[in-house]
Order: sequence, then C-alpha cells, then structure tokens
Amino acid sequence: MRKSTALLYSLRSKLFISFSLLLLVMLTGTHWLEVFGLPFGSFRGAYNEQLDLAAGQLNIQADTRKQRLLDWLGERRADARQTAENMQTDQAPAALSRQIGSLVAARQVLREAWVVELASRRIVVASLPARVGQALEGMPFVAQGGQPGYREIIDMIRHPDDGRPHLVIARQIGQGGEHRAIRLLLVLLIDTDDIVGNVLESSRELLGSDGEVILVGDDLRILTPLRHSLPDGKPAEVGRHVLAGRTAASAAAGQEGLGEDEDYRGRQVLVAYRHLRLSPDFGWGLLVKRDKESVLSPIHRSLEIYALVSLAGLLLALVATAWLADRLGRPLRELSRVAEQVENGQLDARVVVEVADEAGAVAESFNAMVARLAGWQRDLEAEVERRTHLLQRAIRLYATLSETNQTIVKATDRGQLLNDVCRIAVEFGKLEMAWMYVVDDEADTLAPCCGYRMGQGALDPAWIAGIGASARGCLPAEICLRVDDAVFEDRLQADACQTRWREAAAALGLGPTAAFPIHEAGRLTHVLTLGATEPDFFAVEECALIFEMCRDISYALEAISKDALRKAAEADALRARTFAERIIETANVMVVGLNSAGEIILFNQTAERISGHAKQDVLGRNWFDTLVPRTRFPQVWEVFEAARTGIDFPDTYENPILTASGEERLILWRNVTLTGGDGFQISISFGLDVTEQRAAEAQLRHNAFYDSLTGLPNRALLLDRIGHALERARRGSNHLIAAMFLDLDRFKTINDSLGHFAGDRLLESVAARLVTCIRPGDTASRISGDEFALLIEEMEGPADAIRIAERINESFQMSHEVAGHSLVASASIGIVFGPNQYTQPEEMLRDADIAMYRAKSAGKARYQVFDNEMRSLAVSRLRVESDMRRALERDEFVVYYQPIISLTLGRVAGFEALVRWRHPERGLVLPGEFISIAEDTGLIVDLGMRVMQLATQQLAIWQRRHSRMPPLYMSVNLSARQFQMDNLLARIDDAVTAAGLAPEHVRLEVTESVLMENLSFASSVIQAITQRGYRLYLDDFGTGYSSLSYLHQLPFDALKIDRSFITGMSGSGTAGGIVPSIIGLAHNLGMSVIAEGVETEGQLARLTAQHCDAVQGYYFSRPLPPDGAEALIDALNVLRAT
Amino acid sequence: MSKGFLAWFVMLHILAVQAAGPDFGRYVYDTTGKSLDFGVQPLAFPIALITEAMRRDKLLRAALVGQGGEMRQYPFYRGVEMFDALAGHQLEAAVLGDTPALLAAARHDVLIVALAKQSSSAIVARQYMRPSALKGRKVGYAHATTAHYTLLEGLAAEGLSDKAVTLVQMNVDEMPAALAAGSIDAFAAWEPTPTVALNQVPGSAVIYKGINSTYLLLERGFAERSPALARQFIAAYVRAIYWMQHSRQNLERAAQWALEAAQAFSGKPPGLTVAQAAAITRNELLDVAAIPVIPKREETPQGTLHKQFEFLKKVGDIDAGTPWERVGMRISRRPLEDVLANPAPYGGLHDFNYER
Repeated sequence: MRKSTALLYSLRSKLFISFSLLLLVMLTGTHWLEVFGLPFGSFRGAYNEQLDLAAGQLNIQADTRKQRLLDWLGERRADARQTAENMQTDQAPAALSRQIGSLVAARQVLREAWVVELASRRIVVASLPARVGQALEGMPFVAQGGQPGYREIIDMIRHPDDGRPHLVIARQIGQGGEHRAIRLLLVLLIDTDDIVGNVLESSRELLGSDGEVILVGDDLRILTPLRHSLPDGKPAEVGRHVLAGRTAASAAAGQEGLGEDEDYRGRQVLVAYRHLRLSPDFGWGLLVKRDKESVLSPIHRSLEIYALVSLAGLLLALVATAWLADRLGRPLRELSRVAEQVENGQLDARVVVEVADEAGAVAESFNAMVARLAGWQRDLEAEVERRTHLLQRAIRLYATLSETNQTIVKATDRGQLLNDVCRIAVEFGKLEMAWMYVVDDEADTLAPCCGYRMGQGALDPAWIAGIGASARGCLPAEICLRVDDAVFEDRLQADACQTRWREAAAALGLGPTAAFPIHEAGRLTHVLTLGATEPDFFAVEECALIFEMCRDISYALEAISKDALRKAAEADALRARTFAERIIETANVMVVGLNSAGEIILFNQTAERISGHAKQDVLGRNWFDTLVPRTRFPQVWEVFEAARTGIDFPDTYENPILTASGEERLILWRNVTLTGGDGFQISISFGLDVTEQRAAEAQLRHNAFYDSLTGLPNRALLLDRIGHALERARRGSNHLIAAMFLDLDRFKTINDSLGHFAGDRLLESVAARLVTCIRPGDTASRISGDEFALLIEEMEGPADAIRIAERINESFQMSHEVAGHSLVASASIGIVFGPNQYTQPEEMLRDADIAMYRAKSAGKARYQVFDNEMRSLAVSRLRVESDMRRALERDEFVVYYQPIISLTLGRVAGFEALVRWRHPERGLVLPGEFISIAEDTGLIVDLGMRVMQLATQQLAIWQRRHSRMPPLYMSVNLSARQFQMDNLLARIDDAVTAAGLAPEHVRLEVTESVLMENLSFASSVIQAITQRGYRLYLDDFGTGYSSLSYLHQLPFDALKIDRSFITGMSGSGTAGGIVPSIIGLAHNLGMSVIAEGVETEGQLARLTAQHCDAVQGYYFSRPLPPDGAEALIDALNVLRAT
Repeated sequence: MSKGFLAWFVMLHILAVQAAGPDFGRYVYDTTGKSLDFGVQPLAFPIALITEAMRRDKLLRAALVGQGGEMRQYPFYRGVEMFDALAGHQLEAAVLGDTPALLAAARHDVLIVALAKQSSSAIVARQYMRPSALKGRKVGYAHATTAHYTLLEGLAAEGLSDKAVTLVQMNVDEMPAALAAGSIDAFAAWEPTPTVALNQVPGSAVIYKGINSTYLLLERGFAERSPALARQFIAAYVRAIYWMQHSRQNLERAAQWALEAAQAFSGKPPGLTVAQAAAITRNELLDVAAIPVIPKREETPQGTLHKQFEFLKKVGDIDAGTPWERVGMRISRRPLEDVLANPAPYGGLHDFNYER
C-alpha cells in the first residue's frame, strides 16, 4: 500500500500526471473552441452555416412552389373569369354546356365544370351530363355566390362521388357584374391530387432524399399525400389526417417564415412555411421541410473524424510524456534509494555517479555529507554515555522530588510527612540513610524525630540519637543548626571535629553526608541529614534539587500549620453560622434574604408559616414572581431597587405578600443590606405580620367615622363632608348644597314592641333604602338612633333636594320586611340649603333638625324646608325649654284643679289635675304654650311627676279635711313620654305613697294616641296599673282612633268624651247622636263615662238624660287653684247637703 | 465615408425627422359639412393606388359638387396619426391597417365598412437569418401598427419577446436606408417597404411574414348624417378596385399616380418601380377574391382581426376590460352591400371616368 502510494507520489508520476493534464486542458480547450466557441471557422460556425444554407434553400424552394402554385391557380382563375365573362345569363343551356365542355377538354386538370342556378341551387349545366339537375346542398360557396360582391369564390369541397378534396373556383355569370343581373354561377372543380402532380412534385430532387412538400388546408388536414408513413406504419389519408406542429398551424393561419419543428414522424426538421391566401376566408399552408439530421450530416461526419484524430494524438502524447517522465526521474530515484539506506543506518552507503550533470553534482554532495555524518555519530555516542550516568542520578533525584511533592500534596500530618520524606529520599534517591531532627528553639538544640535506612526501614528516634555519639557537637546537623545553612561534610575543612564525624559515619557505612535546614515561616525548625555511599554524590545539580525539596517540605509544613489554623477558624465560623441560622430559623418574625437578582436565598420557618410556602419551594425563585402581589409590584420593586443601590432605602416599610393560598398578608418589614467580600449585595428583611393589627386599626378608623350598624357615615364624617362642601361652594362654585335631617316616625314604638333586634334591622333597611334615593356624590349618614342626615351636593337648584325628599317619602311608603314583620316606617324630613350664611357644618345640621321638627309637628311623613322664622321659633322654643328647666328647679309650676261632678251622686267626685306655669315675667302660662315643648324635650317626665306629687299631696289634704265626705279622687294625665318610662309605676307609687293615699283614689288618664303608638306595650303597662289598684281613664275619646278593639281588650274604668262632641251636641250635627252611642257602648263594656267641656245647662240636661256618669266643664267650674278648688268643694257639698 | 459613420448619420437623420415630424395638427379640415375629408397613407401600398384613383374619379367629384362640396385628402405616415382628427370628428373617412383600425374602433366613433387589402407585413433582415437570430439585435418598427403586431408575432413564434431585441421606432419609409446603413439589423413593415428594402439592400431577405388587412373607415356621424354621400364615396372606392382589375393599363396608371404621391409626401423617391407597385397591388388587392367584402371569419376568434384585438389588449393599447363586441359593433357591412346590390344611384361600379 505504502509502495503504491509512494509510486503515486513519485516524481515520475507527478511529471506524467502534470504533463497529461496540461495536454488534456489544451486539447479540451482547443476542441471546445473548435466545436462550440468560435462563431466562424469552427464546427459551431459550420453548424450554423449549414443550417442557414439549408434554410435558404428551403426558403427558395418554398417561395418557388408558392409562386408556382399561385401562378397555376391564377391561370385557373383566369380560365374561370374568361369563361364566365363569355357566358350570358340568358344563353341556352346547350351553349353554356359547349363552353364548359371545351374548357374541361382544354384543361385536363379540371375534373368537372358546372353552371349552377343560384335561385334553385341546382346544377343546370355540367361537363358530366348526369350531374345536371343535382342539388348542391351544404356547400357554402353556392350561398356566397348569391351575395353581392362575391364575384369570385375559391373554396374546398368533397367531391360528390368519391369524397376526395377538391378545389372549387366559382365565378358569377352576369352583365358587368351587376348584382341584380346575376343568377348563374360557373364552378370549376380541381382534384388536389392533380395540383400535387402538376405543381408541387416537380423539382423534388432539389430537396434531397429527405425533403418533403406538404400542402394543408386551413383546418390543417393534409391535401397532398405524405412521403412517409405515420409512426404506426400506416399511410396518412389525404383530406382526413390532421397535421400537428407549430409551423403547420402558423402557415395555415397566414404566417410565413422558417423554423425548427417536429414532423409527423417525430423527427426534428427544418421547415419553411408559406401561406396561400385563396380568399379572404380561406387559405392553404405550404410546408417545405428537410430532416435536420440530414442537413447536418456533413458536419457530424467531420466532427467524428476530428474526434478520432484528436484521440489518436492524445494517446501518442501520453506515451511520450510517460517516457520523458521516467528519463528525468531516474537519478533522483537512485539518490532516493541510497538516502533510504542512510536513513536505515548504513552510513557507508554511497551513490554511484554516472553522469556529470546537476544530478551528478547532487550525488557527490550527498556522499560527502554521509561521510561527515559517520564521524559525528561516533563522537556523539561517547558523550551520550557520559551524560546518561549523570542523567540517571538526576532522574532519581527528580523522582525523589516528584514523590516528595506528591506526598506533600496529600500530607495532613507533620510526623507522617517527615517520615515519608526520609523514606522517599532513601528509596527513590538511592541514598543510604536519611534522618530528621527537630529544632528546640528554647534550648537551641536538636532532637531526632524520624529516619529511614536502606535495608533497615524506619529508624527509631532513640537509635538516631545514638548516631555519631562520639562526634557529638560535630554532626552535620549540629553545624547546620549553628550556621542555619546546608552543610556538606565532604566540603568541610578536615579538622578534628570533621575527623570525628567522618569516623562515626564510616562506622555506619556512610560515604558523603550532608545536612539541610528546613524552615517554617522563616524560622529553622528541622534539619534533614542525608547519607550516601556514592562518592561525589552531592554535586551542584543534585544539591539544587535537594534544596528545592527542602523548600517544598518547608512549604508543606507551613501549609499543614495554616490548614490546621484554617480548619479551626472554619469550625468557629461554622458554629457561629449554625447559631445564627438557629436564631433565624426560630425567630418569631419572617426572615427573608434576597440576592441582587431578587432571588430568595434565605427563608425561615416563620416565613414558611406566614406565607404557606415551603422553604425548598421558594429558595432560588424570584421574590417578585413568588410572593409579591401583582398590584403591589411597583412599590416593592422600588424598595428593592433602593436596597440594591443604597439610595433612599427605608429602614422599615409595610408591604403585603401573597401567600400560597392566594391570601395577602400585610408585613411590616425592617431591612438591612449586606455586602459580600466580592461586592455582592444581599438584602435581609425581617417581617412582622401586622395584617390583623392593621385591620383592627382600619376598623377603628372606620368606626370613628362610620355607623357600625348601617355602615353609613356617622355624624362626625357627615359634618366633615358638609364642612368641605361649604368650603367648595364658597370658593366659587355656583352650586347649592343641602342638608337634610330625617327622623323616623314612631320608631321607638317599633323598637319597644318588636325589640331592639327588629329595630336594628329596620334601621339597616332604612339606611339601604336611603342610599338608593340619593345620587352617587351625595352622603347619607346616621346621626343617632332613628335620626339620619343627608348631604346633597352640586345641586342646580332647591328642586333637586325637594325631589330627593319626595323620593324618600315615596320610597318609605313601601314596607320593610323585618324579622318576619312587614313594617312601614315613615320619616319626617327637614331641609336646609347652603352655603348662604353658614360657616359651620353644625349650623346647617341644626337648622335641618329644626325643619325636621317642624315637619314632624306638621303631621309626620313629610318634609319641611327651613326658613329663618323656624329658627326664631326654635330659639323661642329653646328659651321656653330653658325657662322650663329653670321653672322646674324654682318650682314655678303649679297645679289647677277642675272638678269632676258625678251626675249619679250629684256632687264633686274628684278633680282633674291641670298644670299651670306661674312665670315670673309672663304671669300664669297655660299648658298649650309649653306642654308640646316639654314633650319634645322630655321635660314632660319631670313635669308630669311634679304634677303627680302636687296633685296627690293636695288630694291627701282634701281627704283629710273632708274626711266625712266620700273620698275624692284625683285624675292625673300621663303623657306618651311618661308612659314609656321604665319606672313609671314606681315613681307613681312613690308619689302616692308619699302622699299617704290609696291607689284607688288616683285616676290616671291616657289618650288614645298614647295607646296606639305601642299597643302591646301599653297593654302591659295598663295591666300593671290596674293591678296596683289605680283606676284608668281613657281621655279625649273620639278624637283619635276610637278603636273598639282596645276598649274591649284593656281594663279602662271610664271614658272621657272629648269636649268637641259635647259642644256639638247643641247643633244639628252628628255629635248629638254619637254621645249617646258612646255612653251606651261604655256602659255595655262596664265602663263609666265622663263628659268634658260641659258649658251649658242644656248640655248637662241632655247628658243627664243620656245617663252620663259624670261631667266637668266651665258650666261648673274652670280649673282652680287649690284654695279655689277647696272652696268649691265646700260650696258644692254644702249646696248638696242643703 | 465609412459604413459606421453612415449608420450614425442615418440614425441622427431619423431622430431629427421624428423630433421635427410632420405637423398634422396644422391640417385645416372642412367645417361646413359639405366636403368629405379623407385620411390617406401615400406610403402604404396598394391602398395608395385606390386613394389616388379615387382622387381622380370624376363621377365622385360630380356627385360631391352636386351637393356643394368636394373630397379633400389628408396624407399621414401611419394610421394612428389620424386619431386626433377622428376624435375631433374632422375626418369623414380614413384608410387604416388592422391594428390602427381596431384602436380607432375601440376609441372613436367610427364604422369599418370595407376591406381595403389583405396582405402581409414582413420582417426584413439585412441578410438571411432564422428569426431566432434576431435576439439582441436592433429592429426598426412603427409603434401600434400592423407591422408592430407582425414583429411581436414573429418573435413569439421563436419563443422570444420584444425584450429580447432592441426596438427602434421610425417611419416606414426610413427603414430601408437604416437597414442599408447598418443602424438597424432588421425591421418590420408593410408593403411597399419590404420590397423597397429587398431592392436597395443587397442580401436582405424576408425572414417572417404575418397576414394583415387594411380597412376603409367612415366617421359614424357622417355615415348617419349623409347616407347617400357615404354610399357615393364607397361606390367610388369599389369602382377604383374594379377599374384596376379591369385592365393592366389601369393598374399601372394607378401605380404611377401612387408613386408620385408617395414622393410628394415623403420628399424622396419611393424606391419602387411601377411594375413592382402593380405586382404588390395584384397580389394583395386585386387577386383577393370577393374584395372589398369584409370576411365573416374576421369576427370569429380565429380571425386575424379578432386575434389582433386580443393582442392589443394584452400589450395595454386597448383596455383589458374592453369586450370584442365594442369593436364588432363598429363593423358595418350594410353600406357596402347597398352599393354592391344597387350601385346605379351611386354612379355604378363598372362605368369608369378618371382624370388622365
């Protein structure tokens, strides 16, 4: 293989291949230029010239045949024209027959001639008599012949007898061609075969053996027989076979030219095609063609000869090239052969020089060079032997050094290292013995520590201590300690000390010895002593290696020391870190560490507990992707950036985290940033979960401004918003604002009857409904109890607030479904508009409150807009209230007594206590001026009890004074507010007891309205009253609901008919009939009846007649002070007694 | 003078002539409506023989004078040069090759009433070559003419497009000289230019021929406004053909008139003999059966007129959305049929009276 490769790459082969390739390129280029490249004088030029020559010939042939065909047709058309012009339309058929007969006879090419009558389209005269009378149907030329302008028609038809294609030349017969005179048509028929025979077949030899002329119709059907068979071996049928090919189609379509095409045999041909236009509608295609292969055959033959000559020349050139290459390469091959022998060590080989040319000179130089090489070889071998010995020793020491270094790398123990050093020095360094001393710094002495001896192995330190005992003080190691340098025993001066050691060493079988210091951190710590058997062992090179070994040992000892220190430090750090980690892990705050990329690197147990994420799941993940809610991303990122840059980094901040369950927990973070030794920034955050704490704080804030029951803003927030609204309005807004004060009617009744739970639900429902009645920017608030207030802002006008108030009232007409009850809660609304004179929100709310009271007093469930008069009234009421309070303190209220006359007994049965205010300035003030204020302000409670005390005390006086009389009773009114007092009965009892009266002498009067506010509650109170023994009167009966139901249910002792009925008794109204009915009803229910307001004798008489039980009124007496009442008692009783 | 210098001189001359160009806008047309303005091509054979014979037809002149007018002929190099006058309804009649006739029918209000000739346009090369050898050579042509269509048809037959050659636009009468000077390698033109070139340029040869036709057109407004006058005009047209068919002497006389008119128009000898002009006329006009009847075939997709219509749409000279019917409706056979069926009112077709 190698030989064949060498042969391939030999000079001879290269020369041969190079010359051959050059030859091939030249020949190929020449051939390419000859065949394809040169347009002239090459085969390509000849190819084109041959084609152009053949094309020119074909063109000439085509033009010649076309012209010949046209000329021939021109002659036939001239025959037709002359014959037609000689004919007359009115000629006898026989004459016409003779004319056409002579024409057909003269022109043998005419197969037939006819005269056709255009009207009937029948042959009237024919060269063949049998044809006369035959109809010519389906022949377009006959129809055309009847049209104006068609003087001559040329067409193709199939012969009526044999169906062969025939050329028709038709000509109108007529005088001067005038259309109206034309009725006959001359028709000449020519077989296309005759055209071929007479016109096209001549001069065929000019086309050569492969040339062919083809005539096709405009439908591409052949009109002349084809020279060759079709590919299927059959001949083409004239008139039926359709010729394919581009040139045939072009010729039939009227184009002329020359082109290359594929003929009906599938051969490539050169075609000259021509068109013969016979009529505007019709023409022939003429194809003159030759096989392209035949045209180019001379060129192809020349090309073949050229190729053969070229090939022969090429072969000859290759043989010559091979001979030349061999001749040129022979001296080099000889030189190569001898060089190969020299390469194999035959330095005595020589090249035989035969020629004196350049190759001979090279051979001589080569021989001289080989001779010189032989001398050099001998010198080299001697030197190599010498150096080999030194090298082997150096190799041993290098091996020693290498082994020592390997031991050093693995060494972790000082003693083991020193032992190994001694062993390696002996085993690898081929020393007899190596031993080591440790330097005692303080004593400045040496102590043996280890050693190794060939054949003895590791040495005992005690044995070492005995080495050179006789030469103590002269040991190389001791000298080394003193001089702190290497000591070579064979280089010391031969003194006595040296002699002693030499003798001791010889006793151990040692030759030269040496001691080498070993330092640690610059301090001499060990001395290594080496003993060899070989003389001159410690040469300079070897010593250098031993010094290096000692430095390595020093480094190793230092490294071992440092390693020990490092391990101790690491252990300390590990303990500290473990401690810190334990603190972090067990800390009750979140401890989270992030690196500068935001990846979590620290995550303690508390962080796991609060976040719900396991440590192993979050470590290494990005903090922002894992624990930061998307909505808080920018804020947290800002803090993180501050931590990274150290700019504006907050010590503490609050941010939520996203727990594993998707919950957000608010964490109070405290941050520190740490910078690693490599400048790497990490952020440690300590987080305290303040979610609940902040929620509680938020709730507290919420509670401060929102009503806990309804969730509406409370009074404080409302006032704040009114204040802001006033501020905005004053700053230039053209909009009005309005405050609306809203108080539920009869809420206390509902609360008392259905309980606080139901009351609270009603308030919630009312609040919800209020919110639906206001606009989005307005405020609905709960002020207290059943009081609400609204702030309406940005109003276009007062109508806006009015609409809201009406909407509220309308909304409140719908019931609230509360605790299984369907409740209707109407409201009274007061409205005040701002900003006007208001500067303080409290003022607006106050005036709205005033307006609300006006609305409530006007009948409830309505609204009232505040005006200044109201404020005056309110101020007035306030003054009255203030005076009343003072009056109560000063005891300015007094009781007047109006007697109640028993009609059955005819005497004073008792008194109704009626309060009067003895005002220090205004004099005696009637109850109408202050009772309603006392009701509204609650003063009625104290006032009522004061009246109760005074009345019962007065009754007690009277009973004592008139003890012989049947006991009088005292009737005292209870207001609605009193009726709602929890300790009402207790306080009544206190008063009655204090007066020393029995309860049955006290009549308590309540009105229907008091009952209706809370019937069930009233029932319970009334039951308690009657059970105590008090008598109960229903006051002002007939003015309220007059419900028979509660009359029946409640244990009233008497009814007091309102004065309006009594007054009406005198007229013709219905009152006259009602009073007896009331009296009858009361009696039927077991109650007595007291008529109020009796002022006339007639009234008294009628009441008496109607069996009324008792009466009171001005007829008998107006309310009297106590002394007046007593006088009346005396007078009436005296009167009765008399 | 070297051949190269001659070629440059001829080219510069052609460019100068084209730049200056005949100012057809200076023609003054009749505005009274009495005269008949007729656009003709003196350099187009054999049409020039017909129009020159018509110019001398005393019967037509008498008919026009009887109506107070006359026939005025306006010479043009190419049919497309008449389009401005056709658009302005200034020409009542025109003779146009099939390509300009199609453009006129598509763009203007005209009627195609008769076939004027049926012949071929040819590609003539300086020496004989196969049409495929035109690749990369300079070819003279007249844009939007029948010969332009023939040139592209011939190139397409060899698988070439107009991009394969360098087209040089020029008037047809300048083409033989340009070919002789070597400034072009070939040209495409209608007769008599190919014949002239074959005479003047030794070795030149026709390498491709394509069939084409020429038509007589009337302005539609004129044909409808003056039907009798239009038929007088058509009768004169047919009469000229029949007159030339009648005798060789008539034909040669008409050829002589046409050659004189061509020289008068172009200012240089036409390069054609009377015999050659007569031969062209016989081959392309007189020997065409049934001429001047417009063949029905032309209106079918196989007809040359129809094929050229599609070609003009393809090259963008006619809007691609134009239907054939727009042109087909312009072909009006009725006036010619009226004349052929009853020629007597229009002076007859076989009674000849021409100026000498």
